[in-house]
Order: sequence, then structure tokens, then C-alpha cells
Amino acid sequence: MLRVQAGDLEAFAQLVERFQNMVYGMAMSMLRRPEDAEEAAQDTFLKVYRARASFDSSRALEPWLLRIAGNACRDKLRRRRAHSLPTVQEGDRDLANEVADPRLAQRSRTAAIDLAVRSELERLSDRMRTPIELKYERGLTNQQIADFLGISLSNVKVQLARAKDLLASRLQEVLEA
Amino acid sequence: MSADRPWPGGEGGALERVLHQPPNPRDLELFPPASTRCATIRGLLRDAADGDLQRIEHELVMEHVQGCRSCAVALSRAEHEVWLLRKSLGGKSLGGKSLGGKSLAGTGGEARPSSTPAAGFTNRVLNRLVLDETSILSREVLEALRQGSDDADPAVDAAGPVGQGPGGDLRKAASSPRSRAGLRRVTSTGSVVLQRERSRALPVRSLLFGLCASVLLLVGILAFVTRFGDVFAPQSQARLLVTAASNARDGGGRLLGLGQGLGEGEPLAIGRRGSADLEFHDSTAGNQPAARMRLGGDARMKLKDGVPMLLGGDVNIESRRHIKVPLADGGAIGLGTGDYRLSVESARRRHGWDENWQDLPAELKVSVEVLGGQPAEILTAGGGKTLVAVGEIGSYRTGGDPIVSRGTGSSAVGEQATRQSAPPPLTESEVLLHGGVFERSGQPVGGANVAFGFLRDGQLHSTNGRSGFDGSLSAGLGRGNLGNFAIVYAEPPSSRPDLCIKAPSAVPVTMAGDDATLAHRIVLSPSVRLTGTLVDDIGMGRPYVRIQACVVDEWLGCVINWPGGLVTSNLQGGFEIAQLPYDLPPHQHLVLLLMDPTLQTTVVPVPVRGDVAALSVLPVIRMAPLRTIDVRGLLPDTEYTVYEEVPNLPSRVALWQRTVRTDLSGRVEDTCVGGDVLWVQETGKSTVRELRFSQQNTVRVYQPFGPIEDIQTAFPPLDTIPGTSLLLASASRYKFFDGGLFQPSGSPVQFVDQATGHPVSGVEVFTMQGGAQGGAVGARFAGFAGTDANGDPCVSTIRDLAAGESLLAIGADGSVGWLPAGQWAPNAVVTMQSPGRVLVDPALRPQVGSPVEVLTLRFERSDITLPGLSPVAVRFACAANGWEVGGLVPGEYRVLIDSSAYSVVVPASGFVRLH
Repeated sequence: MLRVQAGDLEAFAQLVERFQNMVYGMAMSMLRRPEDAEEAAQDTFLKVYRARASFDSSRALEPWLLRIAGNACRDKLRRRRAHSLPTVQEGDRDLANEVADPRLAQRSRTAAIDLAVRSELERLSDRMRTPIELKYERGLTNQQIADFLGISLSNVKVQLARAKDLLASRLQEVLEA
Repeated sequence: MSADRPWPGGEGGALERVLHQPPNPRDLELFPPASTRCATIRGLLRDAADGDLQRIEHELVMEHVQGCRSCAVALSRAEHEVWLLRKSLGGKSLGGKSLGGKSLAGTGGEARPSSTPAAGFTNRVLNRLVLDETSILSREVLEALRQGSDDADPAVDAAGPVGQGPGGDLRKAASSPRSRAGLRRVTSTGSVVLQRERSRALPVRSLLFGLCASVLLLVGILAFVTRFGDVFAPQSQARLLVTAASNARDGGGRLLGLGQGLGEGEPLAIGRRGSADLEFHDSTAGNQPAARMRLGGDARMKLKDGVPMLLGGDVNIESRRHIKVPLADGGAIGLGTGDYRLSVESARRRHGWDENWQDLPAELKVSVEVLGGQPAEILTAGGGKTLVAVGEIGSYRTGGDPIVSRGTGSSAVGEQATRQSAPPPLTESEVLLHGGVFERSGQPVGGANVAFGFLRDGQLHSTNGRSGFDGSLSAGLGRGNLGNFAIVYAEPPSSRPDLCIKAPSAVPVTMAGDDATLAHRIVLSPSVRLTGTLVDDIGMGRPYVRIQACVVDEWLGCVINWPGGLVTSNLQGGFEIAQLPYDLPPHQHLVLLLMDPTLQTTVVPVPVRGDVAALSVLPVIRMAPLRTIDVRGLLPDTEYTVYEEVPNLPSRVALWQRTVRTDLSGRVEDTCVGGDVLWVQETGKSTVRELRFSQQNTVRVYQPFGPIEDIQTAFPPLDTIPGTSLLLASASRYKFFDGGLFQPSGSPVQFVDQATGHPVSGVEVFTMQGGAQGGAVGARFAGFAGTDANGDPCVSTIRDLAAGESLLAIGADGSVGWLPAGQWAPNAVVTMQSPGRVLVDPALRPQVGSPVEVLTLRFERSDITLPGLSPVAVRFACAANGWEVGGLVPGEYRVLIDSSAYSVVVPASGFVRLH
């Protein structure tokens, strides 16, 4: 990062290479659209480069990067919400119908549960779904999620628990079948 | 159940300081905790299943569950929950702890292949960086761009949509092998760094060879840069940026769209029915864009020597600095700051795209119309120079002399331009109003446009005039029963950008036969330029924020949208507003309204230049993020418009609007809003209802509350600020009139000074209705009291006030008096209270060495008895004014400094210490 702070584009390119999967994956978790995730990830790295002078090199890079990435994603989300009405994604409906399809009984129970979990996860609000995905899909720690989402550690835990409660109640029929 | 170890810090003690994931309430119902320890343990089980507990906590949990069946079952359910999620999402298995403490780099894409960005992501980031940060482009790169970058690497941009069109050419060129060498940046230590090489699949020998060559090249470049450093200094480049286009093509015939740019020599042509909006970014360090342009059908343009050259067609230009537009016949049009319409027609026009790009000397028919702002100059190839003033058209044919004629006032490409209409002709029998326009120094101002509003026979009329070379002006008022005032609005001549406009103000008029004279000169103050920087909540410069200067009337609660005061922040968040007022009448203050759809609309009071606390460069302004709320209690699956009242402005005068749609439960979850006071309107309905806040657990919920109001009565007439979703009711205190208050046959009323008991003259009187329920006050200006037609003090006579009608009087010295509704009686006396002053206690002042130099004090009146009025005054204290602020009407105030509140009682004509 010291080299990046000195304006070294080579070092910046290495930084992008190193963190691109993480940032893009987190952006996908929050934004759900590849083109938006790509743009948010690009924005993140551009912001990192432009704000390199303000980075305190005595501190860890990751929390700073996560915070910028989180802000970039939220920015993108706000702009998207500001310019479009909430819609039900076609994919959601297909998945939900598939779970309810009687032919599902022919599939293995495990696959059915997986499908049901993913389906119900998609129905959660962004605020609840994102921490779940970041934790159990991306493997982030609670502190990293808090940095990325710009919320407190306690809030992360509350959101995780609320999401699990909601999922459990919705999945009750599937799981107990 | 086995005996549990003592809990560290006591039961429910130390470990509960850390909030853990709450347990599933259904589990608590199915397997109720048997003891206090069970209840404590239940709160840890989800974190235990996630592996997020400290070692001591984990041990205590495991010890407990071995002896407690219900907690063991609850733990297994929590573990199953986690297992299910990780399995379904394809993440880490239950046995594997999450990646706590491990670097995240590279982990994002392991779970699902689709979670990695498309190939070439790093290149795309670097290319965007190169495009955005044009300062790191060296001349060598730019030279490569000019040569068409034949050797550009096609693989670089093949990965994504970024990089197409002319902008993509730039990126290609920047990433091409040849120009890559030119993409360098000199660090502060003098070393040179290069952009990373893209391909790593080269043979080892090639790499070694490349390494050696690079070292030699570096040494050579270092030596070269040391000697010819200036040549390689970063420099900005002029560019045309397309912001909207229809049937617009570049030189290769490719359609242009939003965001695409054109560099030096790259042509642009508009089809017969097309149009294009462009931003012209010049190579100076000034605020960008330097100009905005709208090209009409058949127009053709290109950049030549860093300035736009109009080859043909019509273009409207909103210029922000001096620009000399070259023409193909060797002439040029010089533009200042203002709005212009240019038209170029080739006398021997040829058809076809390529031929028109030749800027060989041509025979042209050129015209320029000045729609507003500074004059334009026609500079012919023969060296002639002709000035074209505002409202005029200058035209010429190549080889001929320019002719200046009166303008049409119409826009070339459909936009209606605003301009001053010509003064109406005078008739012999009408009353003439005389006045003069002067600078503060006393020098006359010629060519100023002045608009007058006046009452004749109880009806509002308007006229306008233009000051002569000696500053004098006259305007016809017609004949009839004229009021004793005129509302004056004055604009300096376009040749005097150093002067600012005069906001609408009431001036007493004295009558002498058929002559009416303004009691005061119209004084135009020097215009003020203000610069500042905006950052978002994480301190990053915020670009594209719309900034509108407004004047807030502290007593009547109206806001004036300051003409010409709308600007946009640049890429670094910087902004500059020109032509701000130098000073303001009593009880008014200047604010900047900062608007960004993704941040809270922010109101920043700024001292005017005439104030000793004035700043030419504002401290960095931080904009807060939006709040996330839930809205409930609405109709299901319905579209609504949510209006947010802008904080720190008078009630209901500024609203940010957002559209939301409810779900099938009539809710809108996780929507982002800015203001505290919210209103909701169902789409298609003309009624609004306030949304009230209620906290439900951790969720901030807003629900409809209170009566349903008609939108026409709930809010004053609102207009949209261009480029934003903000609705603003821009009005001065003189927008509405009451022509029938002063009646010779009415009852006498006296306006007396509170301290001396003497009558006061020259008092502005307003009648006010409504506002008792908190709605907007209907204030109407009735004229000046205490002064007769000759300007002498007198006792005014007014009609009987209606029920619910009250009077407000504002003196020229800032004194204020009022007569509440219901207290009207013949021979009423209105006591005018002179303003007092407040001294800020040393304990409240910034510490020595603090970056804060000026304190902003917000005075909220708490004892006012006039319904509907809640005056809020803003004053600025600093060392230069001895930390003392004035102009405050006596009474009780709640004073806010930053977020701290104080209370103070301001005495009449005296001062009090605020502590």
C-alpha cells in the first residue's frame, strides 16, 4: 500500500488483482446484478486510489477497503432504488414455484432443502440477506461484515439472527416434511 | 443437571456486555430455559454454532449443554441452522470455522464461479483510472491517441462494455504497448513508475530481455525527464463530453451516446432531426465544464486547438468563462460568461460527412445572438472587432462587415431563453416614476435593467426601465390611484459582471403631481464569489452535487431561489458560485442548498460578504448519508410519492420527492430518506398526509398520521430545481399584495418605538392570514405605514381587520412589531421592538488554534404569539465581530451552536451574554 500511496500504478494493479474477487463477490451479495457489482467494484478501487493519501499506513488495509467497498455498493443501491421501482425478479418466482412443484418429491430431499433455502433467502430483504450471504457464502467474520455494511458488530448479529428466524419460520414446512 | 462453573463477572455479568445473536424465539417456546444460566446460555448458542465465541465462553457453553438437555437440543438446532445455510450457499462446512482473522483476498470467488469478475477486471479498473485521471496522461500517450493508436491491444477492451466508442479509443491507446511506455507518472521522489504489463505468459527469455530493456529504458527516461521534465509534466486536455444525443455521429459515422467524449480534431455531426447536449471541458484548471452546448440538427463541430470550432449549424452555448470559438473562414466569436446562440451556414455547403470536416477557409454566413450575460465579440479574419450586447444579434458574411440588430429572444434549438423585455413606450398622460441606479461607491451604473412592481387602483402592475449613462431611469406607471411603494428588482448590465443583482425590495415612492420618485437610490453591490468543497460521510469529495444559493426570509418563512446561483460540484467535490449578494436586508440570511439523490439534502448558512464574518472559501462541507426506514399503513401494491421536508429551512417550502411502491402488506421496507418530516401522496391523488415516526424494536417505522390535506393548500406553489428532485417554493416577501389595507376612511393605527414611544415612519406592513394550524402563513405586503405621500410622518388609517387576520410590521432598522389576530381595535398601537445583540461567552468560542473560525448560531424564537410564525434567525460570530451578533428582535430564543442548545432572552436595543 505504501507503493500505491506513492502513486505506483504497478502496485495498485497488484492490489486490484489481490482483492478483486473479494470486493466483487461482496458487491454481488449486496447488488445481485453482475453489471452493478462490476461497477461498484471498479468504483471501490478507483476510490481507493484517489483516497490513497488519506490511508493511515499504520493500520490494516482490509477494514478500510471493506468500508469503501460497502459505501460504493450502498451508493449503487441507492441510485438504483432512486431510479427504479421495486420489482419482483422473475428468477425468484421460478425458484419458488420449483420448490412447490410436486415433481420435487422425486428429487433428493437434500436438493429440495437446498433449493428451498436459496429460494427463501432470495425473498429476504437486502438488509437481512446480505449479512447471511457474506457470512455463510463468503466466509467473512462478523467484524468484516460490520465494516463492509457500515453498521455495528451488534447490529450484524441482530440481522443475522433475525434473518435466521425468518428463514426458519418460512422453511418450517419444508424442513418438517 | 450438573453444577455449572461460576459465570465470570457474576451471572449475566461481564460476558453480556458483548451482544450475541439472539436465540430463536420458537426454540425458547419449544424448549423453555430451566434456569437463569440456561437463559444466559441460550443467548450464546447461535454464536457458538458459528464459532464466534471467546474460548472461555465456548467452554462454559459446552460444559452447560453436557448437563442440560434442552440447551443441548437448542444448540443442535442452531448448528443445524448453520449447516443448512453453509451447505445451501456452498460456503464453508460446519466443521470449518469462518475465515476470521484470515486475509480475505481471493476468497470471494471460491464459493461460486459466478462470484468472480469477468476476465480483465484489473485492466478495466486501470483504464477507468486512466480516463478519469487525465493528469497522468503524458504527451506521448496523447500523441499516440492522435495517431489513431493503430497498435492498440484489442484484447484489453474485449472483456466488457467499458471502453467502447471514442472513450474506448482512449483506453485502448493508453493500454497499447506503444503508449504504455508513455503512461508514466513521476513520483515525489523523482522515480518513474510504469503501468503493469498485461501479459504474464511470455517466455522466460523474453521476460529477461524485457527486464533488461526496461531497466535501460528507465535509466534513459530518468535522464530525459531530469533534463526535459517540463515536457512530460501532466497536463489537462480539452474535451467534448456528450451528455445527451440523438442522431449524433463521430467522424467515422458511429452513433454517439451519453458519456462518450471527443478529443482534439475528432469531429461531431448531428443528423437532420437530431440534437446533442455537450459539455466542453477546457484545459484550464478552472471549474469544469467551461461551457454547456446544445447542437441542433445538421450542426457540425470539432475541437481545434482546445476550443470548439463550429463548422456549421446552430448551437446554444451557456458559457462559464471567456471562450473564443474559431470559425472556418479564419474569424472567431469571442464569448464571455452568459448564454449565446451561434449560427454558421456555409455559403458553398457540400453534402457528405468527410468534406465538412475540412477547416479550409470557407465562405460563411455567421450570426451570434447574446441571450444573456456578457457581450460577445465578432472577430473577423480581416482583424475587425464588433461588440454584440445582450438582446442583440451580430451577423456577417465572410468578407463583409458585421451588422448588429435587435435580437429575437428565441432559442435556436427549442429552449426558451429568458431575457428582459423592452421597456414599454410612455404615454403623455401617465405618471412617471424616477429613480437612479448607483454603485456603493456612488458611481452611476448605466445599462442596468430594473423591473418595478406597483399598485394602481388596488391591483398589481409591473413595468421596467433601463438606466441611462448617468444612472437615471424612468418608467411609466399609468394613471390612477397609485400605492406608496414600488417593488424593485435590478440586474446590472452584462458588461458589469462585477456587480450583483438586487433582490426584490420595497422602496417608498413619493408623489409630486405627475411625477413619482423612488425615496432611495437603487444600489448595486459588488458581486461575491464563493468557493467550497463537499465531501460525503467518509470524507470523499462528492462530485455532481447540485448547489443552489437561496436567501431565507427569517420572519415570513419564504425562500428566494437566488438567480444564477445554481452550480454543480466538480469531480473533486469543489464548487464555485458567482454573483452572490454582498449584503441582505434585515432578517434575511444566505444559505447553500446541497442536493444529491443519495445523500441528505443539506442546508449550510453562509455569511454574506458584507458581514465581517464573511468567508471567501468555505470550510469543507460534509453531507450526511440517507436514513433507512420502513413505511407502513399504506395501501398494498400502490405507488406513492414521499416528500421529505428539507431540514433547517422554513416549514413546507422545500420538499425532496421520491417514488416508492408498497408491497402486498402495504409496506415499504428499507427505503432511504433524507428529511425528518415526511409526507406521502398516492400517485394520481391530489391529497397528502404526514408520516409520523415510531420506533418498533430496532426498526424506524413511519406511518400516516393526522388529517388528509389537499396538496394545493398544504404546500405553497412549488417548482423543481433543475437536475434534482427538489421542489422549492421560491418567493420573496413581496410576492403577494394587499392593496386595500390603507384606507383614508379607515381607523387610525400607530407604529411607535418601544424605547422612546415616538411614532416610527417607513414601516413595511404585512397582513397575515392562516397559519393557526401550523400551515403556511399567507403574508401580503400592504405598503409603508407612518409615511404620507410626501414622505412625511403621519398616522396611518387602515380598514378593519378580518377575523383571524393579523398585522406584521418590519422597520428599516430591523425593528419588528405585530398585532395578533383578535387584538385589532381602532387607534391600535403597534409597538416596534428594536433589535438587540448577543455576546458569545468565551467558554462557547472555539479554542485557540481550532480550525473553526466562525461560529454559526441558530436562534429559534420560542415566545412568539403570532400564529403560524416561528422565526429562525441565523447569525455568525467570530473574532472580527468580537463574538457579538446583532439584528435580533427582542424575546426568548433557543440558540443552537452545532448540536448544543442554549437559551437566551434578547433585550431591546441592548445586549446579553450567551452562556
